[in-house]
Amino acid sequence: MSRKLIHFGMAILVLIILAPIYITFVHSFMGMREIMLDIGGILGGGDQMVSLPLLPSYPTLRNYKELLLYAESFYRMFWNSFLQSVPTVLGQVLVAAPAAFVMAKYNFRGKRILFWIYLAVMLMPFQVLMVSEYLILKNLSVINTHLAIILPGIFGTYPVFILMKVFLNIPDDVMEAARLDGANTTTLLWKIGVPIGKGGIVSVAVLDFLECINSIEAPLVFIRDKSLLPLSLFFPAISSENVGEVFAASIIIMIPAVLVFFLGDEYLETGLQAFQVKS
Amino acid sequence: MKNKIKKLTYIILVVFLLAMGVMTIVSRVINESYVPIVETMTSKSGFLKVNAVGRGVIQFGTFSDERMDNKVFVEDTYYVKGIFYEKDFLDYVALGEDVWISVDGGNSVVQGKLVAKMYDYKEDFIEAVVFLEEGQYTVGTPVEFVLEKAKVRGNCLIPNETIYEDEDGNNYVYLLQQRDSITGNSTIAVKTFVHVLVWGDSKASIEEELDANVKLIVRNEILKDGLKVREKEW
Repeated sequence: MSRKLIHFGMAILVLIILAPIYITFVHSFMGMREIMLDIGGILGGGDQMVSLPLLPSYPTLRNYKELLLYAESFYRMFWNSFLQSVPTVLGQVLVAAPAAFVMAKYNFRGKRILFWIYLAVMLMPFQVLMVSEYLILKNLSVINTHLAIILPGIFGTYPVFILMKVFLNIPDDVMEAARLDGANTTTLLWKIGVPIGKGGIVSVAVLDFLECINSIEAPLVFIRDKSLLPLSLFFPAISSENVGEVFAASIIIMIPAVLVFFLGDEYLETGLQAFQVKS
Repeated sequence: MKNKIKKLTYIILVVFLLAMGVMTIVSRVINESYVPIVETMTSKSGFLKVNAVGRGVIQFGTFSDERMDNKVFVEDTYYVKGIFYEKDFLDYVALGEDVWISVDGGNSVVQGKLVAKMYDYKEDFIEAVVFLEEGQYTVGTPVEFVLEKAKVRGNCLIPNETIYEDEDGNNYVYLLQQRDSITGNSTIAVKTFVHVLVWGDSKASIEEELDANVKLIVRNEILKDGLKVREKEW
């Protein structure tokens, strides 16, 4: 009985989580008139009742047509999102993996302090580091370029923290045996660390990609040129004129994120497990 | 099975990205070829050149008026005494300006000079006296006259070629507006009603005050409210 109750409760939770996605999907196939009839009260700020139908009464592909055929800038923003996300993820993995490997498997003076610094920086919200990051980027003359988003992303502390926990799972005996065979640090990382920690690395990459593609604060602060803005920053600009196109854009931008998630879901699980269980 | 799903996901992702790449090019081509290019003009404040029209009667003799101080005809001469329909049109007109007078029922036009203008507070119009060029005229003949160098001050003057008139006689213009949205920065034509105060030869003075940066789209048959347009680059 209690098991059924738990299942029922979980089903309700799943429905609540899926509801926004479903609403977005359904409304992306509605015409402006129907959208305004449903949610016009929210958009217009009036006291009109909001209704959320299960299916569109008059399904149309107009929003997708307008977006995909006539919104040239949509593509620019779409590719901007990728131009900022992909190098950030690649850079993050390249920087975080060696750093995490050394932190996990080597002992050196100040290691513990360094770990606590990493942890403290990881816990700080973007707003705290915003000004100092801005000053550094300004001195590097990369403000208002894609690099302003990529560079701080690459040197993020969060992946190091996760990968460190992943590399801690590598048995010391294996490391010792490799060392006796003449392996140096780089060889240890590439031949032992990366293969064993592959799940963690991929999970970090997937999580970072999702975070980058949804990032709002950094582009908002570091980029002024509208032609360099990622798609995530235009979503809040919803008005009654373009809400249909916004729904359609939300669905389209969701596709790569969902696909990347499905590609990495297996590793995501193992990575997160490794994060919890030490050998 | 799991590997097949993974492979399929890879293929879908690659196809999706390729499709987005192709659509980027297609969208660019469509935008360049199908979004109409429009010419724009801006509003400004200043003087609007207008024709001041009036009517009067040919008279002969001397003329004096207590509002004219010493500006009185002392010699017998032909002149037209009449009124201008729009009193505001004469505010910036100096005496001595040429006036074209239609005589003989419009069969012939003679030149005259504005020699007096007096505001009639009771009737709220401008009385005018126009000195006729030498010739023989029939006293008492009603005539119409036009002063072509009249001007009025307008807070907002817009080009006539940007103004439309609907079936009910209402005037409207199309303004070029930037729209920042999910679809990026696009420009659209926005229909806006205006109240024309005075029509000039090339411009019209309107009641509404448009910012000098506001761009008005030159008349174009395809325009409609909300239509995406591209501004012609010079």
